[in-house]
Amino acid sequence: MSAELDEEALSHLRRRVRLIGILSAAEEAGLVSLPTQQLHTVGYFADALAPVWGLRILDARVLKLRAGPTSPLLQADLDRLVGIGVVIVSAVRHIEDADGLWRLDADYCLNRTLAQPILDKARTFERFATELDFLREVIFALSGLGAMGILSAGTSDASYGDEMIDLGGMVDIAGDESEPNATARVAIRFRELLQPEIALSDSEMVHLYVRELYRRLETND
Amino acid sequence: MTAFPIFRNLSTDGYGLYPGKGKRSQGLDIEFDSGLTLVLGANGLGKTTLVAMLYRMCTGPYDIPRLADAAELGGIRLETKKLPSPDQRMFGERVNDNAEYATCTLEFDLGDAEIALTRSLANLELLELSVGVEGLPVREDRYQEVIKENAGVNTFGDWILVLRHLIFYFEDRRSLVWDPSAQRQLLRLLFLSPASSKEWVEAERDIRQRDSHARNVQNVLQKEERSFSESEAATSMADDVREELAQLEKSQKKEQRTLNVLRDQVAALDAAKESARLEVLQAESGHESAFRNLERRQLVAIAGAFPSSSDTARYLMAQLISDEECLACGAHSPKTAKDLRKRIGEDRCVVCNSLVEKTSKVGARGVAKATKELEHASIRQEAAREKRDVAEQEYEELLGEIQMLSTKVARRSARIEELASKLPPDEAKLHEQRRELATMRAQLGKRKKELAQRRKSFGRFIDRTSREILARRDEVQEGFEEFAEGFLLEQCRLVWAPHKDTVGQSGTAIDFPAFDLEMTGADFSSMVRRNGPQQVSESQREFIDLAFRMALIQVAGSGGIGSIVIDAPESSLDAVFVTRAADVLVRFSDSAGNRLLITSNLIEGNLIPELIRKGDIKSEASKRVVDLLKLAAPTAATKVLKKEYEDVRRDLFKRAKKD
Repeated sequence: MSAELDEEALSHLRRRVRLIGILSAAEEAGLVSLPTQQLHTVGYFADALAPVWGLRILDARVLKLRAGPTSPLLQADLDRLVGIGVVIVSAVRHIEDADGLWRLDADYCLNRTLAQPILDKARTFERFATELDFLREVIFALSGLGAMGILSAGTSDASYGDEMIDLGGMVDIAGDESEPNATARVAIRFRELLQPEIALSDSEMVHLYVRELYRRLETND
Repeated sequence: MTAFPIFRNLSTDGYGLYPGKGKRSQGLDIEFDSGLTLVLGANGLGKTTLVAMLYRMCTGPYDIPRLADAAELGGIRLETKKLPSPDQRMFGERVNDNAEYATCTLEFDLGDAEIALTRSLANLELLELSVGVEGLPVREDRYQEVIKENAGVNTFGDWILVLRHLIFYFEDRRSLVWDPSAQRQLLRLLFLSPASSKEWVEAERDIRQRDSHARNVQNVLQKEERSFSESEAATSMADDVREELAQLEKSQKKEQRTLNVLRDQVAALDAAKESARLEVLQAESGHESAFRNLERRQLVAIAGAFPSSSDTARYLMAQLISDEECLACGAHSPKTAKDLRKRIGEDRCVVCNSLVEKTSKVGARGVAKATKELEHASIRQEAAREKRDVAEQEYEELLGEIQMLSTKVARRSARIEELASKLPPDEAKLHEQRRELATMRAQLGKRKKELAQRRKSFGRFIDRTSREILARRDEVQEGFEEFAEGFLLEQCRLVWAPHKDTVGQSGTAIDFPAFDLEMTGADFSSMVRRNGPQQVSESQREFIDLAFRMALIQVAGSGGIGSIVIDAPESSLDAVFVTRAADVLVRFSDSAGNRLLITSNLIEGNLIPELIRKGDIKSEASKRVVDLLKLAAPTAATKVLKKEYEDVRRDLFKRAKKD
């Protein structure tokens, strides 16, 4: 099958599996449906923290907007998943955001009947199983921030919230050969700081990072 | 806090170009009150000379070499040098007595200090200097100390930068907004403490020197290696070895040169790639917004067809109509989309084609407008993506080429070494040369390593200090918007956009603090980054830059005040923008304490009447008007056409009262 797919099609598939994984984990975390902006924010953190688990970043560059991380690429994949019935959309509305841009606002949840076989198949491969576990950790950690916390998490993030990048600028989380992006660097730094007394797992690093976001949000309040 | 000069008085004595009024008058005597001072003249009467005189009174016979000629500040050394003699005599050369006994006196405030100085107009020599009532030793170095101390700058070079890039807006002006290298120096000296500012300048200078030194050593090494190979080839080695060495050496030389050129291009192509990527993100965001707007309007139109509709069905339909894409199968279906759009246009149900209640005309117009906007956004998105693809490809190709060449050069170097090592043992001189070369290579390697470390540490320093500057970002942005909005009809803002640049000719690029400009435009509905002056109109260019300077003076100046001197602002303005331009200029001059000096020819048009009226100039006799037709030595034109000039002047003042 994969031999018939070009690189672009594979990228779409990777991103769509990730989206399904996010929505599935959200359901597990008690977030029955995810509003658009929360979904985009979670998608962004899944990318920003991916290097902590040695996973691939799927959308490395996003525009810095007042609304928070918003990826046209993720939205296109989401639209397509709605189209093929894997994702169910509700409460569709259009809003003009603080930047004067028109955005689709809706709530998204999985159509389990169609999504479960995709998740089951993905779980049979170690790499994808790891990715689904990672997404679960990210969602569980972020869900602790609450809906408003998730929406404003970007502003406290080491990469997206970096003051050196102004609104309208490009947030690049690709990192380089020598070091990952600032978000992953901070998460990894926790492990370095606690060693050798405590050996943090990859999951714990993600949770600690999100806890740090929580602390920063609290401080900002 | 930096103190900017607040000009109080400029007078000349015995200077032939400005004989002054009446028989007993000695020359010019200009009082700069708070607000606007207008210098009116005609070609040849000395407007630009007057501005130059004011500038030279502040700099003395010193300047930063090449500063006036360079298109961008770039890596120019910010050290002052004494002007060449002809430049020191520039005012003397405009009059028949070489200004031998002519002097000029300037009084200005700098922070709390009231400074007065007199210079010879023959050669700019300092003749008198006082601060407050205290006379000071008449020495140029003492004057420069007074300036540094009271302006709060670290070097006299920084003072000259402030004058050139903030205070004086010469006729051959260059923009600060689009010169990130000048911006970084201005931001450094305006917003960092003198100690940090000094550390920056010294570290940057040190790296540039080391970079230059490493390059020189590299060149010498290459020359030595060539000479070594030639010596080897000239020994009793076999012809084929000699020939191979010569060939290798020739190729090595050529490719090393190419490699150096390519490495120098990396930073520029990297910056172009990043800028193209940002453009794509902005275009995609604009496209997404346009698409969702159209979708929203169409959803409103088709909502009636789904009285108990599911969101998913509406979602699918809207996507099909707006984007011609079927979300169910992924097919591109323009025909079906066109058909559905037609149904909406004819007020028919999108599902069954039955006639439904009429869509309002306003709604239909909205859909049509949104469709156009989406088409526009799609074109922009496509163009931005193409540009990004080209930039990414060029960058990748360059890196690939560098890698390939580096490998080739390294392999060839190893081969040259190998051939050299086959030399007969008795050739002592060659052995000695080889040992020397090895030492040189090791030294060069060490220097390069040291340089890389210093660059890294400088990068960290710049990151840290940039954050200090960043703390003032909002104030600069707000100040800019306040000044710019009166002039521009477009939405326009400054964005904080660190600019990548290398220090020296190679090495890793560092993000230096800088602002970029974003603006809407005739062809862009959302704000778009304008990376160069060519991306805005000439009128916009001038006033965007002026608004930036005014904002910096307001934010960084001691007491938020300063002086701006503008030579001939009318040259770039179209008639319609004159009123707006006058508003911006007067808004600056209205801030308590600011001084604004504008020179202009007596020209038709509205700029002068607008400035006269808005600048609260009551009459031609006002001391805010410096009338060079009366004060300067007449030219042949002003003698012969005196009446015409006077008529124009009278008319301008009359119109100022009438309009």
